[in-house]
Amino acid sequence: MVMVKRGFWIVAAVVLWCGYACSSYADSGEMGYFGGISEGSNLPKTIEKYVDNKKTSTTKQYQYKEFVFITGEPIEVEGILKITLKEPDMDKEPTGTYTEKYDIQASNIEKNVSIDRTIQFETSYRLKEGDFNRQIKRDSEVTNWDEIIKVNEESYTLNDDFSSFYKSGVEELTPGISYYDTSISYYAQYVTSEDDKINVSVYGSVYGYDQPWSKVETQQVTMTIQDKELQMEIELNPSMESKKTIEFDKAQPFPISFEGTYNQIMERESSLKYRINTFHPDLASNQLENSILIQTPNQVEKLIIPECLDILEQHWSIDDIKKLYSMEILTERPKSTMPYETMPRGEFVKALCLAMNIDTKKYTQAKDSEQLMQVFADVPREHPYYPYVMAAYDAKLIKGTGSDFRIDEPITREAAFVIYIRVIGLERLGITRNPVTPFTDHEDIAEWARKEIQAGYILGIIEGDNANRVLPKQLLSKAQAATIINRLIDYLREEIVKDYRNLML
Amino acid sequence: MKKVICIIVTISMCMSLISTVYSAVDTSILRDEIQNTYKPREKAAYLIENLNFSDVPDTHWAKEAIVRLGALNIIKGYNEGNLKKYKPGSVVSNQEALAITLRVLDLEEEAQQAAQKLAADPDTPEHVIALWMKGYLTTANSLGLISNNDLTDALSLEQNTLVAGENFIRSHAVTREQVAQWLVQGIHFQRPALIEPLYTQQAIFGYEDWESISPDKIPYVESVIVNKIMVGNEKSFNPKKSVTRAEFAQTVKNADDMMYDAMNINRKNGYVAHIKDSSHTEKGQHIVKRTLLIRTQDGLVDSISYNYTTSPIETVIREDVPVYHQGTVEGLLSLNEGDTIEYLVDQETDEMFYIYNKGNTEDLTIHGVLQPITDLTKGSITIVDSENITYAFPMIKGLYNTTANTLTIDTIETAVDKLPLDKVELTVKNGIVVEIKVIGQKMIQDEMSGIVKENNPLFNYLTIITGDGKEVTKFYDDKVEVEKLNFYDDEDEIGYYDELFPDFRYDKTDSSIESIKVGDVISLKLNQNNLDYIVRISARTNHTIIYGTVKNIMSHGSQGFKMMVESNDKTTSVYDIAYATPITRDGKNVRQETLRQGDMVKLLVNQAVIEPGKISERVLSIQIDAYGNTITHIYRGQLGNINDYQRTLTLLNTYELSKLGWTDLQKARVLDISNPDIHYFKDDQPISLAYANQFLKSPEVEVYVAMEKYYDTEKAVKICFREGRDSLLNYNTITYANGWNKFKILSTPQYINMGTGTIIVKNGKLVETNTITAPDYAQVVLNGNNRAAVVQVDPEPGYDGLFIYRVRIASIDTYDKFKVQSHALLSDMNWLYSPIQKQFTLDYNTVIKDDTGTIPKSEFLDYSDLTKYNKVYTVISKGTDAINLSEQPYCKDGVQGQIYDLGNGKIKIKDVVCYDKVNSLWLTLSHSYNDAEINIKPNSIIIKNNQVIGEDELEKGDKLRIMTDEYLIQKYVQHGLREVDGYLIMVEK
Repeated sequence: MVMVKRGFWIVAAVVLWCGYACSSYADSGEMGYFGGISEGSNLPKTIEKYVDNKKTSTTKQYQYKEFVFITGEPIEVEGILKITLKEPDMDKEPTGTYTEKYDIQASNIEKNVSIDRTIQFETSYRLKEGDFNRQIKRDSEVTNWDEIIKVNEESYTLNDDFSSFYKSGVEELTPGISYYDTSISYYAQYVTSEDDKINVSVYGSVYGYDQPWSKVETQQVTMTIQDKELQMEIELNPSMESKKTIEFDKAQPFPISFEGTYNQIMERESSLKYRINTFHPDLASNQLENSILIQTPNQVEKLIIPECLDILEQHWSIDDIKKLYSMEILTERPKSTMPYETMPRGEFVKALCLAMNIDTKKYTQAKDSEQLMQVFADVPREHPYYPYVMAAYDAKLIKGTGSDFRIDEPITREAAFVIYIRVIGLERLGITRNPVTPFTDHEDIAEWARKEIQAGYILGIIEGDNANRVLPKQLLSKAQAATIINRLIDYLREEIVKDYRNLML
Repeated sequence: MKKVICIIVTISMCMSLISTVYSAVDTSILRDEIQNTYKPREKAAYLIENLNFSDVPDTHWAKEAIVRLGALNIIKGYNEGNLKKYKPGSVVSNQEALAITLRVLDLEEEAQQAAQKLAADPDTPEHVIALWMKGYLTTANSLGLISNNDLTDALSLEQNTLVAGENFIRSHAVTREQVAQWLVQGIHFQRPALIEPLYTQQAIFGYEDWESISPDKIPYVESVIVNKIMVGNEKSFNPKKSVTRAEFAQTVKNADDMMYDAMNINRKNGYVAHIKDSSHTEKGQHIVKRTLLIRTQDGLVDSISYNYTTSPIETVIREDVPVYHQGTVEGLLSLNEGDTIEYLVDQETDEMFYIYNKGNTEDLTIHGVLQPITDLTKGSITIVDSENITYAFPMIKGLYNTTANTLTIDTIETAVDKLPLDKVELTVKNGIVVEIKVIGQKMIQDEMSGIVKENNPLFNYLTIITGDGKEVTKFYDDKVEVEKLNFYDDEDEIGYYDELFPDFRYDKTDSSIESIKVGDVISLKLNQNNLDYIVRISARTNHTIIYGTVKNIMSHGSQGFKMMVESNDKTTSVYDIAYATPITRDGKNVRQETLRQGDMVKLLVNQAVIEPGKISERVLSIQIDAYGNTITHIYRGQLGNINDYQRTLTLLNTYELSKLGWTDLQKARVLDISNPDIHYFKDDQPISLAYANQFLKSPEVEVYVAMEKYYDTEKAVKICFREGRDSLLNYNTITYANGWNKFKILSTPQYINMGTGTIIVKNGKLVETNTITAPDYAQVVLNGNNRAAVVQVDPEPGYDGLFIYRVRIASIDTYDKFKVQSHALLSDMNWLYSPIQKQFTLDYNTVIKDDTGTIPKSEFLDYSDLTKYNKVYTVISKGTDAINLSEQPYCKDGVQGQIYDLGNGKIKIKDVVCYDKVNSLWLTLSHSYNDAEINIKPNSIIIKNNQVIGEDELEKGDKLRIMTDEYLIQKYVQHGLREVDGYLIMVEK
């Protein structure tokens, strides 16, 4: 088993190579469904947009940790989770089935405990293109389940005939973020060498989201162990988070052609928290509730040098503008008047598409461009923003009426905020179609923008000025546009995750 | 070149002047595939000029026919001076009539060829060669329109010798019956299916003068009447009357469908749906282009463009199409979006000959119930209106998709099998459906919903903001039924269900009007007879989630309390918390006292906007994060390296603060600084990490770091740099605190100063200076002149709340209580005996131990062979509740000391003193290496802060008093052993 421990680094390296799934759907199930945690996979690097060097593999291996409760004493085991899974291209085949297999081998040498578990599901799925959203429903049934837990001389073998496992999930694909919720429920019967039967039942939910700046998968499950000797109820909260953060790296030499660069840091971390609700005087307080982490070293990627931005002469927004250029979200040729210019509607939509990785392949890689539709009079196929505007249209971010998009017109703050909230799919939080917002200039907000602005206020990403005004009709300058897009990205990097990881409070 | 630019500018201006009045509601014109791209006509400027006949006024009745036929080159005008004339009143001669008829039959080319053939024939007489219509005549003859005799007459040199009535005189006026014959004969010859002479007559008998029709022409006249080509006046057909050029043009126009067929022309209808202008320069030519997209009557898209090309040698080419509109002839530039047009195109060359602009037709809207669509490929939609009349219309292509089988309704693509068979509104433009909107079913008037803005039970009214933003006030009386779903209940159970199906089970939503709060989402059922009154309310709480750290708490007893919370963005809010607001910690309900400063909380807040700028917030529940903001360690050291990639900071020569003081020296500690909210201070001044990295790396600068619990590791939360000398004040009682920046501690007379750069930990949480109060029990790290670097406040250890007895069991009620015959209470080091019986209660969490460890409660019996009757136990109790029962030896010896190491069932203590029970004295174990080892046995009991704890909860620095059954000094002196079994281990001050 020592070999396994050493193997972790190799495993981690393999994951970095092939870890990122190519699909545009969320990577759910990276921790398995047994209340354990795996290191999970990193978010894609920026270079992967340009260089496709990923080795696609249907099998992924992760470092894995879990607690074994079956003896009545929580014992931490660690090992490897191997997931074999190939999801079909659901855009091409909107319904179908596939198999998913989870292989877990983990042990605790000191306590002489080991787990060997293989479970295979047949999953039926359906991609539903709705009128207002896109969603994927998945429904899994177990086709094969082998498990044996060894504790010292005793072994607990899964009784296949009396065990069952169901999971069923839905995933909503909003323009920029996929959100999902999977319910799991299983019942396992283990048999000891003395033919004692131990029943374990588990139910709970797996929540998560996936977007370009962070992804999280968190489970909230309750496990009940029923045995002649032992009755135990445990709440478990395994959680996995990957995020990208950014940091300025000032170049140290003085005579160097650039001031500095941005480092994009890919961080990930998995945590497992449990709490035993039943009364066990033999267990120490740190056994009754405990939490562990899998920490993975951060990966650093240097972003491109923001070209020629010194001409901006230290405008207050320069940091935001520089960051967006480094992240290649702003791509226009820089000019010194830029911060003072108004932001055209087309450019704003393009920047958000780039910020949220909205797929424009359909429009940029079309074989026969004549076949592509034109929705807006002023955005013909030849227009450089055509792929972005159309991708935004397809993502139901903007609406087409056969008239002009007014692509060159400056965008108002309210229009920007509406797109801003729709891209993260959270306009639901605005409650009613036309709510009263808390801003003092509420009356100036167009009716079609109120729901989104209210949602943004609740999320804390749309704030009023000193007089608590939101200034809906003001034109957005490029400086302001850069600032609010960067603010959105910051929200998506760190803040959105909070409520997902605090499910067990 | 200047001139060229001038022209371009003019043209562009022209274009913008005829700017598009945006009228088209065609939502998919740009998206739909273009079916046909038609070509404009070359030399269009000349053509259009020629069609503007000066002698045909705009209001002339036959003007459209004249222009149309002119555009098709079927009729021609005359050039007189600079004027183009048509001479509409002139009489048409036989030869002209024949020529036009042949052109209608698309035989112009044949006629020209016949003429050339004649000219080339040496036998052809001179005068015939000179005759312009010789070819027409021979072609007409070959078609049978004129007989051989007629042809001879027509070609005869001596035209004036011919006799009217006998001979065919080519220059004589043609008669109406003759025109009828030629048109019918000619078209029948070319396209037999289109028209034929009718040998059984009915139509001609409607005219009084039918008998004057030449008998041989009767079938033809019958045919033109039936086909509405020539109609005469009300009473007479006037077969022998001559025909004017205007009349002839109209007659031909009346036969135009046949003409188009013969000429391979398509006549199409549609409307101009989109106009787009562009201009570009190519090979030195400047091309200004206007493209018009036409929505055809069958819902497809055609395009035509106007091209204006200026070449460097200043020649101008204009490609255009004649457009007729209300008497004037112009080009494509005269068309606007929304104009309904009829247009003629060549089937083979795709040339567009002519456009008849009928002007902008009004959109028509029709309401009706949508009918299921069985075959979408037909592209038609059917509705039935309230009069039960069925309407079927073609749709524009963009409204339906035959591959996906969808129909676009309300701009949303809807699968045909999921169509709302609902009331819809169709926008019909020029007979084509351009938009479909759902109107929906009839609305129920007595229900409404929204968000509560005000509820006034005193004056019985409720104001809500409806979904469309309107403020509405309704009234209620005391009979109003209220249902409210609480935030903690699931949504999917009853709802309005019991209104429709009365049910008498417990309904968790039953409530009263007082429960309706501002910000609730609400649905009202109104009194049908008086819509101002509410009869029923269904509501639920609307909440948001706020995370923050508790900064201060002010209790108001039964009025609840005020809580100051700093949220993530560092803004501070004060919440009034109602009494009995649920507070949970670790998933369990706790009392308000459990909530402490420094706790991280998650608040469920009902947030309501009363009016713009004014928000009311009500806390519905508080969840305490048991682990959040828990300080695990405080380290001291010098700043080493900072790793930006892995987000770590290295402390050099670093100590850990324990109750023993600074311990556990290590050369380096790598600390996680990935928390984005770390506070860095130099003295009391906030600084950046970069500043510290640059200027504070020095052996002279001490760094104090507070670490926060993070799962099974820790992360730095506060890092403070100081340059003074470090000194430690051990735990003692604070005697004074000014609630801001100064306090006094018992061990030193001076004031100790605090600031924002002081790390203050109270009950394990990082807190602010104002939370220090007398008589807190604290350990203080000073740095420099009475400035506190670290203040650590802990509850003063003790076990006053617990009673420790030795008892002899009298009887046991296994799951409830037990009685003891006698008991001895531990007081200091003495067991005070009392022979009085006493009863203790047993609970699920009473732990019972013997020397093997915990035994099941089922073995704690006073019957069977497991009986515990008459056994002696040590009992830890709170009042009469037994917490812990343990079968232990009678311990009368004692050891005291401070933990310096522990683990694996052993505690190592130093500064050991032992109790000499004979003299009631505490004696030092030895004067060198004064340490001892305490064994923890399975039946040992450890007590700290009035609780029985596990071994793992002891910590280094704890001062212990241990009850044991051996006198350690004697054991040490006699056997050299420093080890003793600890049965009662109590953590003391």
